[in-house]
Amino acid sequence: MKNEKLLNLLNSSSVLISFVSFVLAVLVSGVIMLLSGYDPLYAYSIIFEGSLGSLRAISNTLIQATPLIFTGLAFMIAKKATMINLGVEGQLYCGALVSAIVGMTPLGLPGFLHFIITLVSGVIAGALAGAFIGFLKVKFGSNEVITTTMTNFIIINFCDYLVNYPLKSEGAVAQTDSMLPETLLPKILSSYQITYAIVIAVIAAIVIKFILDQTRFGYEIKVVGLNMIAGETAGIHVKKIMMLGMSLSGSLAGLAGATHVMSVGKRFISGFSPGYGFSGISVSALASDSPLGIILAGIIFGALKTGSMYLNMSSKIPTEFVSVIQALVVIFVSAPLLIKSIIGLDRKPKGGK
Amino acid sequence: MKKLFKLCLSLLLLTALIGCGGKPAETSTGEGESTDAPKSDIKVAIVLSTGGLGDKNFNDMSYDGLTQAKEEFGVEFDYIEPASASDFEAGYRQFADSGNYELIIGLAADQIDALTAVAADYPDQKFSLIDAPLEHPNVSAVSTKWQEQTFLCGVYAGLGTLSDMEKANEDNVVGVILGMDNPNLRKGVIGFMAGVRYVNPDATVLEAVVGNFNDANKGKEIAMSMYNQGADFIQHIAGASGLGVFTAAKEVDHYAFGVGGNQNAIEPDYIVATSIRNVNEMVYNEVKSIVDGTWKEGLKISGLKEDAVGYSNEFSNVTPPEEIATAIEETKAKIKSGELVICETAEELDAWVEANQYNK
Repeated sequence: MKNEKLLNLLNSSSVLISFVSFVLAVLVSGVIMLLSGYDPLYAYSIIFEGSLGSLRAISNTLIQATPLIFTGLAFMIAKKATMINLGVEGQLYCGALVSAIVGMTPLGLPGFLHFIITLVSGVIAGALAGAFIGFLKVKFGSNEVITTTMTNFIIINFCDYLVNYPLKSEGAVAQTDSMLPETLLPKILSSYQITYAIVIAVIAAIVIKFILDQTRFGYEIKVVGLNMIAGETAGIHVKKIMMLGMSLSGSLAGLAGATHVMSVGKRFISGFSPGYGFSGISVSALASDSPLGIILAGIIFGALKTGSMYLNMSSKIPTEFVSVIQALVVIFVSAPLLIKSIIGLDRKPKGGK
Repeated sequence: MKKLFKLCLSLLLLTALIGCGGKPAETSTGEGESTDAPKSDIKVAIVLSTGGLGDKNFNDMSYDGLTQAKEEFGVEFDYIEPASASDFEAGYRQFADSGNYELIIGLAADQIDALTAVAADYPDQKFSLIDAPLEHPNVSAVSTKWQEQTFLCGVYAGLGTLSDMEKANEDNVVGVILGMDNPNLRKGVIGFMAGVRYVNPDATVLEAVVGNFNDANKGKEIAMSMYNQGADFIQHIAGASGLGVFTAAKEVDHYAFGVGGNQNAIEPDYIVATSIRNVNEMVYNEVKSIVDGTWKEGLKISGLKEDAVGYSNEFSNVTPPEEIATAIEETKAKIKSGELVICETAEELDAWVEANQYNK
């Protein structure tokens, strides 16, 4: 009985569903590995060691987690405002490109000011890209799933064009010139790659939680998300909320791009993102849309990614298994009834006996 | 209750997984201590480029080079396939940090940034960068002379277009198609042009850029238009876009040259030869130099003489006429002996052609 009470408590915050989904995803991937002739225990131990086993490993995990936390937040906030923002990837590109351009251009400003402008310009670029989608939705009723998917192509290919031709630096690689040193995020530890980007990510998550829980805007977003018509009746300007939600989502995506070029890339490189924007969907799903949960989910996926590189280096097990885990997590999380039936929460306490 | 049992079981398994996390760490550091031991204990690592294994080109060739080194010297190797350019630095650091590897190999110019950052933090670690220039104290950067790679196919084309080969036409026109307009490929174009005009100073060499390395359709369209303008031999330097050139050659019944790994077998009736670049050889030589202790930092530019680049008509069904084969052999010997040095830039080309003629 005690257990069931605990389970019900956990269930109310939907932490349990995420947790069970993750465990199931790990188990099912393990079975797939076994069927493919690899040793899952060995693979998972390598992933664990490679992602959390040393200071270097933890540093790499946090580096990988940073963009995922931002994109997870971006997807989540749009979802709260009833929008499915599949354009996080494109908005991230906007932020990265604009930050890289501002960062590589000598403006004759004091270093700190240039740094701030570099960061903020990326955020604004992302916000504008997001607002554009919101505008299309509110003004013309365009389906945001379609507009975001399509604008992704336009933005990403346009960025590629820019770094292949007008903005291309000398040499054989499609990339912009290096950003100026004062526009880069400082490192937390010397000779480690990790920078204060992760701190910004955590702060962003806390700020988003504050906005959602403590402000009028956050309240209105929640109401619109729960019941748009009720919100409208209650005097909430639904279209405005959707626009703002989309802009906020875009600005978080832009922040992801900006902090990435300011810490990892140090310039805009063609194809720098292995799909951070889309991984944000999985992160947000695993965190069941809780801002602080997204920090944890981002770190978990970051750890998987880092662990997979370590797996790649120390065994012949294909790293695609990590993508399998990630995909399975999303499948399980998005099937809460399945999870509930597996752990027996779909029955009345007595029936469960 | 059954469901609860399942949950407990899965939790148990998870903790079991986490519990055995420490074990392999010990074994892997254990291996690392034997860096000074006999040659067969040497371990090397490679950070592949983003195309990953299975690209039938750069990455696979590097892998082959390492496999060869493994077979011959008993060298062990590990590799990382980075998902994007953002992962290069983490990959390098992961290898460098373990301290297990005598040599860490990187591929291509897009890793220059990452390697520069990492090499500075690990001054005692040896790095080799393949196919890109980088001057750094503990880095050996190996690149190839592009102009020597395409020169011999140029000679073939220059003589071939004048010859009565089956699929050659009347016009004294040949072509070269590059994937992207970058300085390396530009040198390849100059090498091809120099090769053509070395034996056939009046020939017209058409030139076009596809704009990327994986658009076979556009590659085909450009090739078709070149063939229509009278070209009968086309050299591509365009990665997968070049596959379209082969399709076009087959359609209009003319010739083409491959590039990189030996591509002759793709369309053996139409591809007469390949401008070979032996990435595997370059990787192998770097590992070999570690094994025999001759590894040195600095820029190394290798060409025909070192067999880093070359010419091959193996696997092609087209046999070149006697005088073309002789011309290629003679020219090859001259380049290897250093008697013939090929120009690198478009500005030098005219003067170079004036000064160097095959029949002189």
